[in-house]
Amino acid sequence: MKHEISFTINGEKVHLEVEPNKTLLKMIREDLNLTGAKEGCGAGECGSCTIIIDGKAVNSCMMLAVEADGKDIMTVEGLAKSGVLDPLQDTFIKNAALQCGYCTPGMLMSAKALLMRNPNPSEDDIKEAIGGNLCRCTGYKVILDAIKEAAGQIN
Amino acid sequence: MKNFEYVKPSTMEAVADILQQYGDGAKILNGGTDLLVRMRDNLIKPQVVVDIKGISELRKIEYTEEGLFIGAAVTMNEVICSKIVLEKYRILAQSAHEVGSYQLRNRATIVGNVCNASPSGDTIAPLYVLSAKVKIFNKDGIRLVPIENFILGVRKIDLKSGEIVLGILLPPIKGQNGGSYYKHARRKDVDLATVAVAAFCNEGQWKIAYAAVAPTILRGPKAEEILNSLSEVDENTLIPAMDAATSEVTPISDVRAGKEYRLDMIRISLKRAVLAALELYK
Ligand SMILES: Cc1cc2nc3c(=O)[nH]c(=O)nc-3n(C[C@H](O)[C@H](O)[C@H](O)COP(=O)(O)OP(=O)(O)OC[C@H]3O[C@@H](n4cnc5c(N)ncnc54)[C@H](O)[C@@H]3O)c2cc1C
Ligand code: FES
Ligand code: FES
Repeated sequence: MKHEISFTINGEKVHLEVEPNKTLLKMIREDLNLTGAKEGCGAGECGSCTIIIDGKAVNSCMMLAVEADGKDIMTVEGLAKSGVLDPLQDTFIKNAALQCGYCTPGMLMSAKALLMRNPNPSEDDIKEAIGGNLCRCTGYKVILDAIKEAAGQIN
Repeated sequence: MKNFEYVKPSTMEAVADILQQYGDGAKILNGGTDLLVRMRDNLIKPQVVVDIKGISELRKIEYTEEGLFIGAAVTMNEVICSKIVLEKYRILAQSAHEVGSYQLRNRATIVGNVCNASPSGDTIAPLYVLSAKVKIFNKDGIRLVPIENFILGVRKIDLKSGEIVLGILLPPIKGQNGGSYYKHARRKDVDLATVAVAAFCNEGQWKIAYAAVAPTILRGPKAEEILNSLSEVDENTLIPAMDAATSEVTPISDVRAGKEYRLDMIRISLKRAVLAALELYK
């Protein structure tokens, strides 16, 4: 039986009918056409599906779409506002903090959630926040730099 | 993932009714970080998934004269950030911090960890040394079971049809105490324990629990007895306790490590957990 759910995503109210066995990640990608969040492992290991729900970073592959009812969701598509990039997006570009880009939407959302709860994180705070985001290309150093720069710690 | 019916009741009675009606065909959904992975891999195919996150009493963390109650739907990150946990039961916050990744800890719960009853469940060994009790709801009333009796084997717990875990009760701790959890894993995040040890000392009396070295978490009565008999515990005097640790565990070889390596690492982990607990003893 399908369930009717309502939620906000990137500031927009959405009303949908979903099957219970659909993951939130699948709903976001296939029903809403927001393909930023990626499926890497589908099992909580890689973080490429990370989005922000009610201010908290979560793995959208490990949530059912029906669980999104009443929630406030932000995906990587909601970072830029009226064509202006988020400071994190700017510093990721400036530091070349991506190569293939597969991990990037998840990495950005983990970093965004961190800066939302703690605008001045230590290096350990940053490592904790992105510890669940695998990157097979960059070696992480440039990602740390980009997040520090977005937090105003280096320029 | 096979399709199923999803329900989100707002009372415990309603959850109990559904569990009774469907028996093994119903599964409780908490943070979902164990359940959804097992459903995705078709290891289990429930007819009904019962989301318990709509029940407000399961979201409470509350300190009373009975001790600290942590509701079933309280997440790892909520425990890690709880002032009262950090002040009085720090070892639990420390072990919760070892689970998975930051994102995962925003969903995963302590009670889910306990009900999953994995030998490498990170928060379980600390609950053993803190003498935690599991608070269980059924329609006839509430029962309290010591954690060591609740966990029966790999994914086997003392829960009857129609019963739901309400939360964990940690008894008050009187007097000087300190505890620490040492997890030995291949990497820092998103990895299960190869072996782990929880050590807790209260008024000179030690409690030790080992993880990932037997089908369930194990208490270490021999190591405890040796530590309790020492007039001073330091890295030299505790060597007999390290030897005792290897004699009271029964690890297997698997993808994470061989049996011999686990036996070596349980000694080292015991030492590190005990010394770290002493640092915090006050
Ligand atoms: C990528 C990844 C990494 C992980 N890393 C770790 C790790 O480092 N350490 C670790 O210990 N674990 C780890 N886990 C396992 C898991 O995250 C934890 O066991 C977690 O605490 C489970 O909690 P949950 O709320 O998500 O449980 P759920 O998946 O919702 O539930 C787990 C089980 O308990 C039952 N259940 C839940 N609540 C109740 C209740 N109130 N009453 C009765 N039954 C109930 C469910 O029906 C289910 O069978 C990892 C999992 C993943 C996917
Ligand atoms: S796809 Fe969700 S964590 Fe890998
Ligand atoms: S840029 Fe390729 S995985 Fe991170």
